[in-house]
Amino acid sequence: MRRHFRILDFALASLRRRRLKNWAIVAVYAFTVTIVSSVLLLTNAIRQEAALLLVGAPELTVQRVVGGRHAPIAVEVTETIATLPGVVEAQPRYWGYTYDAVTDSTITVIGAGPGSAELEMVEGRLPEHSTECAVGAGVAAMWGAEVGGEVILIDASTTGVLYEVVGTFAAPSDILTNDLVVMTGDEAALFLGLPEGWATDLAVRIANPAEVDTIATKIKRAFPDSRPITRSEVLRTYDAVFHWRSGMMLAMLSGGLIAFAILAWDKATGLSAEERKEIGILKAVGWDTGDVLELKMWEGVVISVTSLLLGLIAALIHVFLLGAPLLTPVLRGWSVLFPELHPVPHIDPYLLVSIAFLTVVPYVAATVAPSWKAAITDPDSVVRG
Amino acid sequence: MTSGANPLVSVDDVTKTYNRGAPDEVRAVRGVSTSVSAGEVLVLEGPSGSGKTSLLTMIGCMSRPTSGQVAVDGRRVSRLSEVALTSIRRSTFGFIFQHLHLIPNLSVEDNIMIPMVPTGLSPVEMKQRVQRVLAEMHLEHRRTALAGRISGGEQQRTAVARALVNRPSIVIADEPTAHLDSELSSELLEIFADLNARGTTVIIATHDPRVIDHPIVHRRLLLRDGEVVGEHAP
Amino acid sequence: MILHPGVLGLLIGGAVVVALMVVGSLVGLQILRAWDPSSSSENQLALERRTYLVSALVGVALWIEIGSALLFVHTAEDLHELFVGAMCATGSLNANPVGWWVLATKGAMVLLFPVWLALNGLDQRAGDYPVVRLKYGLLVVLTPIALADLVLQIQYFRGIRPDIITSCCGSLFSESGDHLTSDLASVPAAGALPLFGLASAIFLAALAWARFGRRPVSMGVVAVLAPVILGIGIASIISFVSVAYYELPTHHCPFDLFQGSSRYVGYPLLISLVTAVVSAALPGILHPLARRSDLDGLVAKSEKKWLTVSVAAYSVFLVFAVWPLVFGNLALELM
Repeated sequence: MRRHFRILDFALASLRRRRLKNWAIVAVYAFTVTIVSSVLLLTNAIRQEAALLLVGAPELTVQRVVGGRHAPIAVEVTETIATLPGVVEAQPRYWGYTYDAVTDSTITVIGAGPGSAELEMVEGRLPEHSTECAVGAGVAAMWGAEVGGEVILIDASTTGVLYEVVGTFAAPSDILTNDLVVMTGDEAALFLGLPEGWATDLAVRIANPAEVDTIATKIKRAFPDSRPITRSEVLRTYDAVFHWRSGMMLAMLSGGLIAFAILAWDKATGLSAEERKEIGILKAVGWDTGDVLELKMWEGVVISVTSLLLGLIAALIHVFLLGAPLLTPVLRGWSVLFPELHPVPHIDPYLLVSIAFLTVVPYVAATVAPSWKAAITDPDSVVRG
Repeated sequence: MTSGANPLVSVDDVTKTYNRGAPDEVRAVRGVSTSVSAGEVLVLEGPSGSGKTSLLTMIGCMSRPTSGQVAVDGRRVSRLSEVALTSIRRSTFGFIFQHLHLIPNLSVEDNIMIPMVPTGLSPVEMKQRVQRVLAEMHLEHRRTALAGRISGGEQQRTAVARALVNRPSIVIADEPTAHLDSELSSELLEIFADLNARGTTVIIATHDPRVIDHPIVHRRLLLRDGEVVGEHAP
Repeated sequence: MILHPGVLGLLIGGAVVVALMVVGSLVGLQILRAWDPSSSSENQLALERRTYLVSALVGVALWIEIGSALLFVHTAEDLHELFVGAMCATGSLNANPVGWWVLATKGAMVLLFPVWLALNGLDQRAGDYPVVRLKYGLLVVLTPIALADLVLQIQYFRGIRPDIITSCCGSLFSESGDHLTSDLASVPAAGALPLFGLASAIFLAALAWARFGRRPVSMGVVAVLAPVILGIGIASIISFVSVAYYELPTHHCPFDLFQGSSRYVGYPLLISLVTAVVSAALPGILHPLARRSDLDGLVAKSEKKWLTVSVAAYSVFLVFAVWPLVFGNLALELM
């Protein structure tokens, strides 16, 4: 046991003696870790937020599908659904997107109704009149609008409509509220150009979660053109999509990882004359190949741990303090408002292990053979010159 | 050939060939037999290329003979595995090299520690041993100085201290005086005399007359082209 | 195929282990073919140097494999959210039963690699590489397991689709099923607990006997007991340790112990149990080698160390296993 500590001790000293070279390796290594962990931390945070926002979502959402595409659904369908046993309530929802040329961004418009009550207000209240609206932090910032201020939005008939801001939303579920404008239900329908008596989709509340699937089947049977979506399905889709996205990113990054492993190999094989001589000295004064190999492995471990920690800290700063400016365009899609997002810091030990596996394993594997090559230096090499 | 009843080291018809079978094959040692008894000061004498360094490394368990046998303390070492061989080398031999081979950007103390690292000694024991050899070599005031920044004489003594720290019964020196002025070389020979007086066996490979003719030498083995061509016991 | 960061990590880890093991085996075969301990040719010296390469490769492979086994459990755990009906790793594994085989190959590697490394350590420290043939022969046997592990992992992750409705621990580890695991779950704690206590007492006593008496028979007994203890340990985790940690008398799923809600207590439980079992088995497996005179002292010294480690690890396991029974809220109902 002691022997291992002594060799670790010596490894630390020998790393310190070649500070410049080793910091250069740590810098590249840590950068690799930062990129990989940024991807993982960001997707994980988005996933968490998506899950968070779905907590208040209805057990069942009913859409209408025409030609395989999502189409408005007749509000009267709610009456039929409400009569099904087990259904607590069925409500129409009005929501959609609008492009705002002034700020060059896409805004989500939602009619106040089921679900919006769960949104956390920072200030003010939900709109009660057709001329009022509540906005998310991103929209508020872009318009410089506070409660009592005004925003002008372009509606479906390309007319500018003036709304008074009566509330702004809080941050925890940023992803939902950031680009959000909430209006009254009727106003939202009007604004989005939905025909009267039609809604974007329906929200169905069900008392017993075990009945969700049965009720979904019944709705599908009653309205063949409808598409009932359960909340857990949405959750799983979110999960799958975000895993898939981070997986894609990582797959693309794997080229970088390979380059990094090659660098590690190169670093380890490219022993300087000075290092070679030093290993010769160690061998000559009584170290065996195993000892030198252990020394090299410890050096690798110390470099890996240092880089892993530095890279992780950098990634945490990048994602949670700076809002992941390097990654958001790729991972979050089209909305320019999204980059304002500041995910809630959340570190999962599992993520750390995944990150370690994606970065440390290739590095360590790449250094085994070169370390061995260095370690088999003949002890009499220093004498024979 | 002088050999006690139980020689400390016995060398039996040993050869060492480098790059065997290749066009640049070198037969550095060709059938040398000798033995070293405990407490002896033996000089391997010969010009460069005579095979004395190769013989020295085989005696010191640093390399293995191509053929023949080397036994240390009665244990045949020629065919031992590297770990076993290294362990004997570490516990039995202390080495002083021609170019000293200190690690220049490591402190005097850390340089001396190196041979103890793989032994698994306790930190306290290690400190005590370093303290002792530092005192013996009059280096206490240089303990934390970098080995590359001290005087030549101090470097020489640091190298000796490193060779002694594992308490070897045999000290092996390869051309130890080659780069030393006469003052330093006689200082080193004094150290050897002192070590020998306390029972340590000393084996020196050299062609420096200042060493060869020094009164501490018990026996000289003359080497030419890898073979023993003469033996003197003054 | 699921592109999930943990999955990618596992696949990279699996591929790296296979690469290390294949290179290691090839070098090992090379060594076996030309090995000649009586020669001091440069070729033989080169082969001896290569033995270090093999040990380093296998050593690194073992560490990756230990990490990989834990990562696999946790990934299965994490993936369960993707499946209808899955509440923990059991559901993810049932979604594609190949997963259970992956678990088996990983278990085999974590149990066998340390044996190889212990053998290797002895071989190197002894004077003349006495077990070099045995060692590399074994290595050639280990490599296919690593390969199988990688192939099965790829199959597992390719084969699971998020739309599969899977059965979960509720059915596998419930008391009414017809699986072996349900039988384990339905063993009443009142019976399982004394059995576990008795087995532990016998095991510790045998360890002490081997540690201090150091008779070959005792080593053999401990080595035979080791796999039995592994089985009883795992059965006990399913039967009452998990229940005591969840404080739910009907919830037997061992995988939930690896979740944050159980404060990851599954990891120390599993690691300490495996450490105890492996180090208990080592002396019995390697003791026959001690008949060679050059290994005698080395084996004896290592045996002492392994047995001590085993006692320590098993004590840790006991503490983690018994803790919730003594301090948990469910303790009284089980007793």
